[in-house]
Parts: sequence; C-alpha cells; structure tokens
Amino acid sequence: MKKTLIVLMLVLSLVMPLAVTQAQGPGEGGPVVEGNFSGSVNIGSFNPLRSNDTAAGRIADDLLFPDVIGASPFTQYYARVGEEGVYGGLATDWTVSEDGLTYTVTLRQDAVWSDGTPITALDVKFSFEAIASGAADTPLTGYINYVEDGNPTGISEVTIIDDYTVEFKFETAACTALGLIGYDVAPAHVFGYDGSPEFDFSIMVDHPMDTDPEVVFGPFEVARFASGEAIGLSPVESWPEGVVIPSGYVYRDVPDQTVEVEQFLAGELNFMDGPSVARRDDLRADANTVVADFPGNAWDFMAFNLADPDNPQPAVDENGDPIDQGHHPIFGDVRVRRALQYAVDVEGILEAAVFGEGTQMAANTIPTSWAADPNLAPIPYDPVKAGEMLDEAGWPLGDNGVRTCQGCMYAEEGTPFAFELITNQGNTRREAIGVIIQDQLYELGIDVDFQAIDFQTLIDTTYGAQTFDAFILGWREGFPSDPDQLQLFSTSSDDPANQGSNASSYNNPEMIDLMIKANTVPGCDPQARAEIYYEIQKMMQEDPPYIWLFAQNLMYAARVEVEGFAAEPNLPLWNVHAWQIAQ
Amino acid sequence: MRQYIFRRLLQAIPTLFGITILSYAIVVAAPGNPVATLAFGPRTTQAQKVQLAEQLGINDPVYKQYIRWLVGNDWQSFRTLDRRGNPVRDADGNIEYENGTQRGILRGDFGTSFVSKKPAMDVLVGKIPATLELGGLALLFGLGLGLPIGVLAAVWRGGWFDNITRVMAVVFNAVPVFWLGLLLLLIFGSQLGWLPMGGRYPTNYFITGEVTVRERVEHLILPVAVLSTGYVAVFSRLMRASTLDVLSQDYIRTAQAKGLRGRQVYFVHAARNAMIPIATILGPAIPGLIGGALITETIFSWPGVARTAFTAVLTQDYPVIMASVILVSLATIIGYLLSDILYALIDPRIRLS
Amino acid sequence: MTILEPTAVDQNPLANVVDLSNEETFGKSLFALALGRLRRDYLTLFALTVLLILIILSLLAPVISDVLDVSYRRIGLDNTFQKIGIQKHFLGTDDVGRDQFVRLLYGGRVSLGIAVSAALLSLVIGTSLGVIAGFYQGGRFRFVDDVMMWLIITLNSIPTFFLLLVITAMLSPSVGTLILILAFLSWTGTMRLVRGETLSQRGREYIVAASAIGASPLRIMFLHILPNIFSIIVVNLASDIGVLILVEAALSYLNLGVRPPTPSWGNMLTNAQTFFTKGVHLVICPGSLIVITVLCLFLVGDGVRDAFDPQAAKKVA
Repeated sequence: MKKTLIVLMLVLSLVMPLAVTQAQGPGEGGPVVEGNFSGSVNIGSFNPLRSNDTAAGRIADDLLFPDVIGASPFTQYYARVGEEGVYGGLATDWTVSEDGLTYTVTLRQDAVWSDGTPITALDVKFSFEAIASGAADTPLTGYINYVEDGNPTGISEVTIIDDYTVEFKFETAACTALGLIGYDVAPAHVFGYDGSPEFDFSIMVDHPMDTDPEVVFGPFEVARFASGEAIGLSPVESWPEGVVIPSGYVYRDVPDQTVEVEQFLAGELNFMDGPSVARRDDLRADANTVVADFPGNAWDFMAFNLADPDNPQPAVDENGDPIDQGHHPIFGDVRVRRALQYAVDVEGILEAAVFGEGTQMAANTIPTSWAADPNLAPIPYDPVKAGEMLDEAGWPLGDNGVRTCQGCMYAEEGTPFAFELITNQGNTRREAIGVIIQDQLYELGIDVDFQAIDFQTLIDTTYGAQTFDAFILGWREGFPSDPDQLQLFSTSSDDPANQGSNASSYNNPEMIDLMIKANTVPGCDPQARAEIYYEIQKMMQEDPPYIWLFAQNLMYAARVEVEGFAAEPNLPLWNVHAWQIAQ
Repeated sequence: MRQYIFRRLLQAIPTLFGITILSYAIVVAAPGNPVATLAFGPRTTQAQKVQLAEQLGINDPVYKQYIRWLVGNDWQSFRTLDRRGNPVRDADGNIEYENGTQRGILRGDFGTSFVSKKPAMDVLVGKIPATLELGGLALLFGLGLGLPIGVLAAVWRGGWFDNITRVMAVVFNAVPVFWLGLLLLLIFGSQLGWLPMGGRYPTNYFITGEVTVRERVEHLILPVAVLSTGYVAVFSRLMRASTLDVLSQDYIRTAQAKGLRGRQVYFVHAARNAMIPIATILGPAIPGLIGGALITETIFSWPGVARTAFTAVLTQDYPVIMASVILVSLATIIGYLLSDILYALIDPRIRLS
Repeated sequence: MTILEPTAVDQNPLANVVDLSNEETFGKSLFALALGRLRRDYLTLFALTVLLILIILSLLAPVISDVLDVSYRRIGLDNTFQKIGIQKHFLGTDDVGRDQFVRLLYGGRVSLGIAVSAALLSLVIGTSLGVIAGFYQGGRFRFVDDVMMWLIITLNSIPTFFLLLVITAMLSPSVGTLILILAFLSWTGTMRLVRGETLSQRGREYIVAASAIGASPLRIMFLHILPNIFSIIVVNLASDIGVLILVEAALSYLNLGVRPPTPSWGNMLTNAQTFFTKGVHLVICPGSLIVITVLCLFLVGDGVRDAFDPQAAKKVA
C-alpha cells in the first residue's frame, strides 16, 4: 500500500523544506530500522492476499503492494489518488449507483509493477477472485466472501469494464462497502491469470511470491528475508511518487517491548510503532526522540455473559427461529450490569494499567470516530451509587460482607454474588485491569475469581463454548474505521458453534434494527449515520453487554536523526520514501 | 568400531519409536485441535470446519491418526473436494476419490507448517547453522575456560583461586539465565553501548548482504557469554575433581619423583588423563545446550532451532512442533553416540565389545 | 545452567561411601556420621539457616500480612510504585499498589511449594520405579525392567526443558498440574540411581535370607532394600529443589509459569521487568530472592553430599 501522488513531492516541499534543501539522491539517506516484538519476524507470506499477520501488515500491505482504494493520513478516510497525502491506493475516483448496489472504480493509469507491467483492472479482479475462490488458502476469505456463503454484505460480482475501470456489485446496499473494496492488489500476470472463470487459484499456494516477491509496487523491494531475524527491503530506482531517499527498510525481530525501547534509545532502531506504555514518558522527555501521540483504535472491555452459562445456545435455530437463551443468574439482570459500570474506576485503571496512555470509552464507539457522540459522557466511577443500584436489584450486602441474592431476578435466594473473570495470559495490561476490577468489586462485597488463562482456552470458553461468566479482551477497529458493529452484536453472531463474536448473547432487536438502518442510509451521509450511532451509544450505556473501559493511545517514535518523520494516525509511513536519516 | 556404532544405531530405534509416541501423545492431549488453529477467524463457518476436520482425518481413532502420521496416507483414498468443499462427481454421478498425499515421517514427510506453509522440517533445518554457531561456540568457550580453571583449582587446591572459582561456579548456576541475559544486555548494550543488543547480523546485512567478521563477533559475544556460563561452571568443577583423582595416581608421583617440572606434570600428564571423564558428559551436555539455548535465543533474538520451535508451540503450529521434538531428540541421540565413541577413542582401556 | 539436567552422573554419588569396616566409623550409622560432619560445616549451616528463615516467613505469610495490616491482593491505585520503606510498605508497592513484601512471602509459598512438592513427588516416583526395576532386572519379570529402561532412555533423549515447554504451552497447566508435570519429567535420574543400588543390594545375604523365609517381593523391596539405599536418594534433594525454582522462573519468563494474579517469584520478576525504569526494586527483590534461595539450596546440597561422602568432600571442598 504505497501509493502517493505526483503532487506529494510538492506537498512535501511545503511541509518539510528541509527534505528538499538537502536534495539527497536515491538511497542516500540511511535505512529505516523498525522493531517487531509480535513474535519472531515470521511473515506468513509476502503475497498480500495470503496472510494478515503483523509482519505482513507492515511489509506486504504497507510497503510492497497497493490497495484498490487508498486512505488519506489527514482525513483518516478513503481517499482518491491525487488528494493530499493519499496513501496506498490505485483508485482515482469511484461512483455509487442510485440503489447503492454498484460501485464503479476508476484506476490510475500511471502505475506499473516493478517488472514494467502496467497495473490494470485485471489485477484488481484477480485479487478479489483469488480471495473469494477459497482455493488460495488465505485468511482473508472470510472477510469478503461472496453472498452465496451467507454474508449479506459481501461482493457478488467484480466486472472489468475496461483496462482502468472496475465494477463491484453488492447483493445488499451497505455503507461498509468501501471497506470490502479497499483490499490489497497482487500482480495477476505473475500467476498467469487471464480472467478465465476456470482459473485455478491454488497456483498461489507455495508460489515463489510467498517467500521472494519479485514483482511489487511500492518504494521498496525485498532484499533479504531471514525468518526469525529480519526482513530487509532495498529502495526501488524508479518510484513514480518521487525519489526514495532511505537506503532501505529493515524490520528487525526484538524479544519484547522492554528491549525494543532500549535498542531504540541506543540507536539500533530508529522507528517504533507502539512503544511500551511504561516508557512513553521517557521517550517524550528524550532529546534524541521525536514522538507522535494519537488516540488509538484498539479498545479493551469486560464482557458479561447475559445467557445461561450452563446451557449455551445459538441465538436462532436452523429455521431462523429464536432459541431461548436462559438468563445468567447474575448478569441476566440489566440493573446489575449497569451498576457494575459505576463500580469500576476506569480512569484509575487507565492510569495504572497503561500509565494514562489511553482514552476512556463512553460506550461502544472509539472516541476518535466521527460517529462517537461528543455529548455522551462516560459513566462516572461512583461506588456508592453502584451499591445502591445493587441493593435495588436484590443483591444486598450480607453480614459477612458479601452480597447475596435476596429477591434478585434470576439467581436462587441466598446465592452469593460471586463470578469468574478471565483474560488472556501474558498481557500485563489486561492482567492489571483484572486485578483492579477484582479489588474494586471486592470493596462492594462482590467475590471475583480472576484468572489469566492461555489465549486458545480463553477463546474456546468464551466465543466457542459461551460457558463463561465474564472476560476481559479487546477489539481493534479496522482502518479506515467504520462505526458499524453488527459483527460484534448481531443475533447471527451469537453462535457458539462458529465462535461468533457475540459471546455475550446480547440480543437487542431494537439496537440491531438501528445498526442496520445506520449501515444502509441512502448515500451513506456521515452526519445522517452519526445521528443513528449516537442513539445506539446511549442504548449501549443503558443496556450494556460490556463494561466499557478504554482505547489505548497510539504512539509512533522516531530518532531525531530521521528527518521528514511526520506520522499520522494509522499511517505513520505515508511519506517514508522522503525520510532522510543521517548516518 | 563399525560394529559398535551399528549396534548403537540399532538400539536407537526403539528409543525413536518411543519419542514418536510421546510427541504424538502431547499433541493429542492438548486442548483445542488443529482445526481450531487453522480455522480461527471471525467468519469461518461450521461447514468449513467439518470439511477441514475430514481432510485432516482428526475424527479417526487416535491410533489410526498416529499410524498415518508415521507412515503416511498415500495408500488411502479421500473424496475429491471442489473449491466450495463439495464432493466432485464424475459423469455418472459417482463421487471421485484421490489418493492421500502425506508420506509420513518415516519417509521424511513431517507435513506443512500451518504458519509459513513450508514443509515443517525445512522450517527447522534452516535454523541449524545459527544454533550450531551459538551452541558450538558456547561449548568451546565452556571447555576452553572451564578445563584450565579446573586444573588450576586442583593444583592450587584450597588456595584463593580454588575458593573463588568454586563460589563463582555455584553463584552462576543459581542466577536465572534470562535475568543474567537481560542484565548483560542492559549493561553492555544499553548503558555502555559497546555491543549490539541482539540479532545475528547488523542491520545493513539485510539490505546489502555485507557483513564483516568483526560485526559477526560483536553479535556473538553476549549470547555466547550467557550460554557458556553454565558450562564453565560445570566443566571447571568436574575437571577439578578429575584432576585431583589423577594427581593421586602412582604414575604422577613417579613422574614427580623423577624430577619432572610441575607445569609439565600437571598439564601434560595429569590434565590429559583427567580429560577422559569429561568426554562422558559431552553427550548429556547437548540436551542442556538446547534447553538453555531457548532462553538465550529468545533474549538475544537469535534465530535458532529452539526459538523457532518455541514460536511454533505458541502459535500451535502442530507439524513444526512435532518435527522439532523429533529433530531435537535425534540430535540428542547422536550427541550421546558421539560422546561414547569419543570416550572409547581417547581411553585405550575401553574396549568396544 | 543446564536446567533440569543436574544429575548427569549416572553412578551412585556415594559409590565410595564409608566402608563400614573402617575403624573410625565403626558402630555409628551413616546418618549419625553425616550429621556429625554437617555440624562442623558452617557454610552449610548458614545456608540452612537462611533457608529456614525464608521458609518460616513464607509459611507465616497470612499472619505477617495481618500484623502489618497489608494484604497481598489488595491494590491501591493512588499508591503505585512506592519506594522501599515508605509507610507500612517495607519493600514498596508494585504497579497496581500491592505491597511487595507480603506478595514476596506469598510468592515464596508458591515458588517453594511447587519446587518442593515436585522434587518430593519425583523422588517417590523415581525411587519406587527404581526399586521395582532393579529388583526384577534379569529375572522372570525382566520385561518390567526392560520397559522402564526404554521409557527412561526415551525421556532422556528429549531435552527435558524443551519437552517441559512443549507440554506447558500445550496444556497451560494449573499449579497442581504443573507440579505433576515437573515431577514426571525429573524422576529419571533418581530412578537410575536407585535401580543400580537395588541391583547391588539384591544379591546380599540379608535379602537372600528374607526371600528364603518367604517374604513377599513387595516386603523385600520396600522394607528391606529401601531403608538401605535411602541416603543416596536424599543427597540430591536440595539441589533438585533449587533447579526446580529456576525452572519455574524460566517458565514464567516465557509466560508459561504460574499465572497471575497468583504471585510467584518468577512471575513477579518477569512482570516487573516491563516497568524496570519505574521501580527497579520490583526487579531486584524477587530476583535476589530467587538467587539467594537457589544458592542456599545448592550449598546445602553440596554440604549434605560431602557429609555423606567425606572422600568426595576432600576432592571438591
């Protein structure tokens, strides 16, 4: 995803006069060196259609291959080639049909793969067919499946109108459509694709493109890949967006965030994406470091199980008729869930778990989204009120200091207020959140058994079996982010057999109607959509499936020798080809 | 000698067999299964999972799966599935079958890594040079430092050198490896800035492919130091005991009585014979090398076999996990064998019968 | 630091123990002699004292936490990263304001508890199997011995720490299961020792006599043979416990050890490394406790071995 426009150099010359005055030539700038602590640098595949791990996201997606539609670092939304700073796209324009079912995308005509072959509509069609075929062994298939696989918002047909025009047909009109179109594009000619419907996409499996991609479109190309060590990229000679000044891009393995920061401070790394929260103050204070802070788009929550944990059921049976979910003895009662939000000191948690490097969530929409209601305040920490609410809900404090059911809604009389809270092991942030919630609820006479367990078991117990009481986990919004969350809270996601995302069995028909309405507003006008999302957020505060916690902030850091570093949220590398690194 | 080696190799067969059972048992006992791992994703349907389970044959009895893993499934037939997972039918409407493709580990087929999609054994074999480089140097360093320390401690028995080295040996064995590693990294890498903080090559190598010997050595110093502390401790103490043993032998006394100089006696006559018992622990040292190497490789981002295997464990990459157990065990068995042969070679009193 | 492989020695560490005909030792039991020597070994006594203090403190953790009026699990969000010696927090507080001193005591219960239980369990397994295998070696039931030796050689052919990682990562065990796994992976050394020693005891007159008067094999194994080989079993116990403490710490470093919020020295150390710039005492305290404890265990282990085997002591001391 590396696209920038011809105007980019012009823009740069305005924004960063230094970049121009030094007039360094190609590859004279020293390499960008980034650390990766997400496990060994073990890219699943360089083919952007075949993998979506962290390394693939940075290298294949960001630096080696284009997307159909790019994004702007400044508007943080899809943007046309030619707009200021646009990053990673091929589309110079797109239009939507009256009924919202057909998107016609026009591609730029000046883009060529590194072997000289022009990038055309055939490449775009190839990329979608490859993912949709299911034969290319790709983790992306689930995201853009064709309608026949039961995804009502999927793309039903991709048609080549001419070399630089593609038409996408949808079965249902949805404002999230652009997100489905915006995927990566891989070179069709490398695989011999001719547009034939009989084409066998399994040729992509074990293709040299996985390990040694010779045909790319970005400011860099692969120089050396050593799994478990680093991926080294070298600059391309003729990048149409301008001279590529860095002498390379090296994505190095680091064992953890602690060592990553030390290597950065020592100058072994010169760029970091998301440094350890414990060290961010040090980095801000460090004279040799330039940082860029932004509110983030990954948010943590504590999910309740609303349904009977001893009898987990999907929301609907095969005929689409609702199945009785039963009630969780404690959390089945909305008054209890509401009370617990008052009982948890989210600001205190923010300070302790991420050293204040986060933003509190008022409800289900990240604070930076255009759909977040600016007038909706988070529920304040008020343990006294929480206690009163629990008393009212039939959970008064007993003599031994523990709340028990006395006239509560779903539990047997005399049941103590006790539940299990789980999260994934090895994540110090979530472990701290759990310990604090445990302690704050203990204050209120609630006995929380908090355990960190391994990730796979956590997923099996929660999304898989739905036999849990409550768990702490997080979601990461895609980029560009859309406020639609049908995937998280819809009835069809309440499906233990398929590990559906709605593990809480939160089945709120009114909310689902609103979400569908917001996603199908004619013309998809953000203001009109936002009004509906505001309503949803109020609803999510009054009838919460989760305790809303916070979104951790983003931080990008570069060494002071990196001139031209101008990170924007989610697109820290939008101008990486112009970075000048003094050696 | 050839006969001896042959017999030892024969003896290794039941051992290897036991290892295959054990490694398979671990995977079977683990919660979750390959389908959960392979099909993890928000929109994987139940039908896709059932299909995957069928292809992997994980609904068969465990013993069948084990045998298939051992000898392959290319003698079996499976339904041919089309892109959508439905059985393919021929013109007459009969379901088409195709032969399995797995050849089994006995014929060198360890399956394909779930993560990198490469043959599982290839994933590991590519890491052997890095592990040999680190482990070999650590072992050499351990011997090179440990043996002379042991001899000197024996010679100056009860003196300050003996006492200090003895205390050091115990202390170094009591420090957690990962703590020692981080400490050295923070001191020499971060505070003093003398040495790189991890990796096997400098940054530029990954762009230009150029690396100097000096850079290679700099990257080796810290990991080798951490990995070899244990060996120095163990070898020095063993060598000390062994040397003391030899020094009390008659021939040494004879040599001394005949007026040979101290240094010559100690290092030519005594040390040479004292080294014989050391050969016996070289074999057992190899499994220790791999265990200790995991922590060292992790702290210093060293791209070796142990860390690759560990990453596979964390990502539930079953084929690589099982291949790594087999590979590492083979290395251990060979290590024991070499050590026994070495022992036989350097000690003329041992007869191979 | 060849973790978990401390007893590469296959032969009896007491091979040249006390010949009972020796005049100096005549008439005294092996244990009495060893105790006598231990009493003069001040380094070992010192290490033993330190260990005892640590154990008693850990056992008294609930009492101490009551007396100090601090809890090992109560947090204090306005009270995080307190330095050593502030108010009632002897060793300061951690990232969520929990008292470090009391948590270390509770962590000691967990770390020591795991190591001691696993070492004892492995001792029981190794000894029982060793006696049985040794007893039946070569006889009518030789397959018992053959099967066990095969099992041992197989287990020893997989690097133990590596196997441990695979198993803990796959099973993600609770504390109880972790003890079982550690024991299951560390009994082979003891077993070999005991087997060898049983073999040599088997031919002695008192055994032959016992079977002649019709004592059952079980009786012979556990009433006659076992007491006679007991000393060689306990000699390695202390250093084995030390190694197991290191193993628990290493597992915690890899996020496979005792799971938070249950404190162990290993996971406290690992957790604190994330914020070492905010509170270096949170790294130093658990780290030093591990080193001190393991060091003392190794010293005691050496001391005990020397006490039982004075000839070896002359060489090593």
